[in-house]
Amino acid sequence: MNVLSLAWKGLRQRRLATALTAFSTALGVGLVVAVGAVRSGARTAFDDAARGYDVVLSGPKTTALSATMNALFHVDKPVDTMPVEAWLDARKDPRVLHAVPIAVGDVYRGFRVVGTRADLFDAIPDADGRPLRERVAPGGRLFADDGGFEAVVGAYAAARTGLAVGASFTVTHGLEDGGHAHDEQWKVVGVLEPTGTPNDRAVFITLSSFFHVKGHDRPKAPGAPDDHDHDHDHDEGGMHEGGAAPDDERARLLGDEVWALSTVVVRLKSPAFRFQFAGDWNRRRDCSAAVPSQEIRRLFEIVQGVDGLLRAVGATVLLVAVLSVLASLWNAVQGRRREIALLRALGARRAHVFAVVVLEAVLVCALGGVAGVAFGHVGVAAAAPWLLAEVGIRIATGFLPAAVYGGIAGGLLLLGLVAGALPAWRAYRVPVARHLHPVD
Amino acid sequence: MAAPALHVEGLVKRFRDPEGGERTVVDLPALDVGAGEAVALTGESGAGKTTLLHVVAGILPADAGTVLVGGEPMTGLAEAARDRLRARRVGYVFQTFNLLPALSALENVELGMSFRPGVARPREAARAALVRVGLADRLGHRPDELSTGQQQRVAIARALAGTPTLVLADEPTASLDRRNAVACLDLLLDFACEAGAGLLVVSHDADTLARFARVVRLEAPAEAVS
Repeated sequence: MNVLSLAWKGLRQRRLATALTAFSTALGVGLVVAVGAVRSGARTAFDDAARGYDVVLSGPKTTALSATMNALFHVDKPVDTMPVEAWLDARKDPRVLHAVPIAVGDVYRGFRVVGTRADLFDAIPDADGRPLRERVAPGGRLFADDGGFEAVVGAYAAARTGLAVGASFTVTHGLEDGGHAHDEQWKVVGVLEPTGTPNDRAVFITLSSFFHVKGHDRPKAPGAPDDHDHDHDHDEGGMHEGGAAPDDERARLLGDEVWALSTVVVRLKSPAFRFQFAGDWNRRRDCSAAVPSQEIRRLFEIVQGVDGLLRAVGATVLLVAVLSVLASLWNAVQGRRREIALLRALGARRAHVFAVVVLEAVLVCALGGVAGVAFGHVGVAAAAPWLLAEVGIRIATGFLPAAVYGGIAGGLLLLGLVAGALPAWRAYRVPVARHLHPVD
Repeated sequence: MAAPALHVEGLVKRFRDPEGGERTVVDLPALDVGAGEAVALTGESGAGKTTLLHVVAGILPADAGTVLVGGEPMTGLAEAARDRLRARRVGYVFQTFNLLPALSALENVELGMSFRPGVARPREAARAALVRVGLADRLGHRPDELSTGQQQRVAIARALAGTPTLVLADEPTASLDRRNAVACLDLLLDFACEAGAGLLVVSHDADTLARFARVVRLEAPAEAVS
């Protein structure tokens, strides 16, 4: 029987105290692991979501972060619109591979309705890099730009709303639930397979159909009769401000109805052009340009404070756990002086006794560590569906890099040694003769 | 000629009292226990019987004199060296058994050999010792699942399983009823004799003392040294 098995049996003898101290250690470790996993997974998911979105053009008052959140993640409200001419100009820029117009302003049962053109599905890939065009589920198809009131639905939105190929639906005005329902009906012609990006939560409709909707059409000239009696907030949300008169090219590409855009998603021939392109376009007065990868980096810098706070909470919980291990062992040594004296009488040296108590602390920390890693991963796995539903990002629920676990193991070993040292020193100093039995 | 299991000569042990003076608790001019010999040690309370066992076992250092266990000096050694010699040469039986409650009977006996170098297959040796004391069907039982007599048998098996040179027993029958006391003493005497170990038993009990051919009476030292 060696000191390790003696330590293990000592812990088993005090099951409740062992379980409680290990559990408190597990909470601290779990929090640290969960924060690390979510941060790492979120960064990956955001980076995946930004694939294909080299630059986002938007109205001049819309901030770069807002444009990014709107175009990539289908959240946030567009502040203003941009003219169709800017999109036409972007198409002609030699650095541009795809320039895809987007108009938003409606929702379907909480999911953002995105008016766009079919080349969006060529420009934007899924999380694995495959174009969305290749991710249409069997039995469906993409819509054509002149396809009328047709829709392609993201996988998550389809699953949650029950929309399938052949189904019809109407949309609700405004970017939040509670607006009035439009009269027009769209027909689902395709459903996308899960892409692992926020596009899983979008309902795509043809751009031209978006502008055929009452309330999305061009505002009447002052004094002209208004045939759509609605009281939307015209200072925000997509298509409610006036635009320039149509010319031949835009009429050919978009029809006469499209008079302004929420954003334009730009895929460049090379990502190396991103900042040069954005700089050039930010000199225009009628639009602004955002580089999503840069905005995501900024976003993570903003949330880094929260991240640090959670880590600090985890570290504090861990510190309290270590103190509870120390207190538990300190009291245990007090109650086990006779056992310690017996071990010494049987020939154990002081070093043996010291090692048994330190090993008990290390084992408690190890148990807590294993449980904590499990807690952390289970917590992340439990949070992943919620993040997918609310934000549209798919958090990886797999294991962290081996170095992270190595760091946790090393840290817990150190904490165990620290927590066990003081009680072990107490055990080391137990006078054998006094505690073996009364001396006559 | 083989060395005796125990040789004591001019042994003195003193304790510091609360007033700052020193009190002599053991003053033993000489004591020998041969290999395979059983000796009883008796004396009034305060005569220093338990302290003598602690010094002989190396748990406490001697202040003067010589203690040889199997011919090896216990006195004059540092604590760690005394621990090693005790682990190698001495078996100990306590009045209150002192079994670890978290361990089974087999593990308690094995524990007695855990700090003793050179014991081949300690688990098998522990099993054989428990079979020898009649507990073959109690190997996996914890102390609280055993009677007091059975617990003391486990303690005897623990003391003798590693074939020590010297077995020290401090009031081994004091916590037992008459029947169990007789049985355990028989077992201790037989097992020690078979193993060729010297046996030094501390007891106040007349029936117990009557079982020994040689009884040494320890007198409390008369003077206090200040």
